[in-house]
Amino acid sequence: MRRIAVTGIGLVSPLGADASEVSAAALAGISAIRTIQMPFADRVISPLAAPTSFDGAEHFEPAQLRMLDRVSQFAIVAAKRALADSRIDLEQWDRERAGVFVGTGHGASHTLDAGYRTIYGERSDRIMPLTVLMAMHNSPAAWIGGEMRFKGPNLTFSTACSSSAVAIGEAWLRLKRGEIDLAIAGGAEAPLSLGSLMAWSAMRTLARVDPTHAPASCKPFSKNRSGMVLGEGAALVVLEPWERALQRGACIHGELIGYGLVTDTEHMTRPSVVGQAAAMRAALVSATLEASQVDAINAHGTGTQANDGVETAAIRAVFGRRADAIPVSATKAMHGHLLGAAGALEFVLSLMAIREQAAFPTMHLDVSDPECDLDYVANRARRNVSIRNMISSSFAFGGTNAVLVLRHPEAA
Amino acid sequence: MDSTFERLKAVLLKTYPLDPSIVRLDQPLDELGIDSLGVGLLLFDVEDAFKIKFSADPGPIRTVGDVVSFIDGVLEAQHREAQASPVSSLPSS
Repeated sequence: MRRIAVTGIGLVSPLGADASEVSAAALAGISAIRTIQMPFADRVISPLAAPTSFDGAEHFEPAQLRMLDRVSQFAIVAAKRALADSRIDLEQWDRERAGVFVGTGHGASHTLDAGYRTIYGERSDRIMPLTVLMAMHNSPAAWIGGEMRFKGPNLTFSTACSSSAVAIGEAWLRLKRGEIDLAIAGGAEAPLSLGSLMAWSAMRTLARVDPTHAPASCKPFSKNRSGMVLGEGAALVVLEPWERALQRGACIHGELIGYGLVTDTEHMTRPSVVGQAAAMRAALVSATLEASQVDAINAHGTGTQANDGVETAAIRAVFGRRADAIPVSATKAMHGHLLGAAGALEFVLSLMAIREQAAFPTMHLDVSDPECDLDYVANRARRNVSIRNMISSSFAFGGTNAVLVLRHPEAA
Repeated sequence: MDSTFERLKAVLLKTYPLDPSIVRLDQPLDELGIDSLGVGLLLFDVEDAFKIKFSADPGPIRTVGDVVSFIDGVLEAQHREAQASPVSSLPSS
C-alpha cells in the first residue's frame, strides 16, 4: 500500500484565503463570527454567522458566474488554489488516474432558495433555466473535474458534517490502493441563505448571541456554550503518492496515514460516546497507531451541549489516562461550523498545527464544565508542542463519523 | 425602434464581455463563448428584454442570426394572435 502526501492546500474560509493566513489568525485567536448583515437578519432567531469576504465577480466572468451557485464558486476557486499550491504540472500526469472527491452537506442552498422564492414568494414560473445544473449536489465536484480535466472518479459525498472528511478519506483509500495517482479532495459549503439559516434555527442548535461580544458566541467545551454558528467556505487539498511527491520535489504539507469511518446508529442527531470512540479507534487501527502515539486532536467541538460532553467522554474512552496529556483544539469557535466543508478545513488546520508545532486555542472557553475536563488549550494558543501524529474528528447528523490521522512530513 | 438584432446585441453585451464589432448575424454563438448552456440563459434573458415567452422548442440555434430569426418568429406569431383576438393575449411580463 502506498503512502500518501498532502502537497497542495486551497482555501476560501472565514479566516482567510491562504493556509498561512488562516493559521496565523487561528493562532491569534481571531474569531470570524459576527452578527449577520443581511436583509432577512431580523427573521433569524440566532443572527450569527462566519462569512467569507469572497466575491465571485472577482473570480469568474459574468457568463460563467450565473451558472454557479456560491458553493461551486467556493469549490472551484479553492481547487485552483490547491493545485497552484501543489505546483503540479498536470501535463506530466495521466488525467484518467486523477480524481475529484468533494463533500457538501447543503449543496446549492442559495440557488434553491432563489428558485423557491420565485415560485412560491413571487408566484412566478420564471426560475433560472440552469437551476438543476446549479443545484445538483455534484455540481461543485463536476465543475472542478471539468476545469482540471480530471477524468478519473468524480465523486460527491454528502454525510452532513463529516462530508469533506469522508471525501478526503475516500480519496486516500483509492490512492493507497493504487487505483488513482492524484486527487483533489475536500469540501465546500455555502449555507448562509435564509432557508438554511431558518432550518438550523428551527433545530435549535445555533448559538445565542454573546451579549457583550458577538464574535465570542460559539463556546466549545465551555459550560455556558449555547450552540454552533454556521460558517461558509471551501477547503480542498491535493493528495498524491509519497514517492512521486519526493521525486518531483514537492513541498509536502503532511502525510495522511489513517481514516476511520464508523456509523453511529443509535440516533439521527444525538451523538454517542460509543459511536464517536469507535470512529477514533478505527482511525488509529487504519493508521497502525497506538493511542499513546497521538500528540494532538482537532475536535469536532461544535459548541453544542449535546456534542461536547459526549466527545470529551469518547476521547477519554479511547485515550484513557493519556487523554489528559493531549491538547484538544476546537477551532469552530473561530471559523464557525462549515458543515460539509468543516472536516476539510479542520484537516488543513491540523496540517498547520503540525507545521507550526503549536496547538490552536479553543476560544471563548469562559466557564469550565465538569463534563468537559480535558486540556482544550483554552483561549490562548500553545507554542512548542511536539506534534508528530494528530487526529481530526468530524461527527455528523445521520451518524457518519469520520476521523483522519495526519503525520508530520518529516516523521516517517 | 431598434431592430431585433440591435436589441439582441444589447442583451449579449450586458452579459458577455464582447467587442461589439464582432457581434454579427452570421457569427456562431460558440465563437462568442456561448455554449449550449449559455444559449438557454440567453433565451431566458431575451424573454425578459423582449417581453415575450418562448413556448416552442427553438430548434437548432447556432448563430446570432438564428436567435434573431427565432425572436422574430415568436414576435410575428404574437402579433398575429393579437390581431385575431385583440383583448386576449399580450403576455404579462
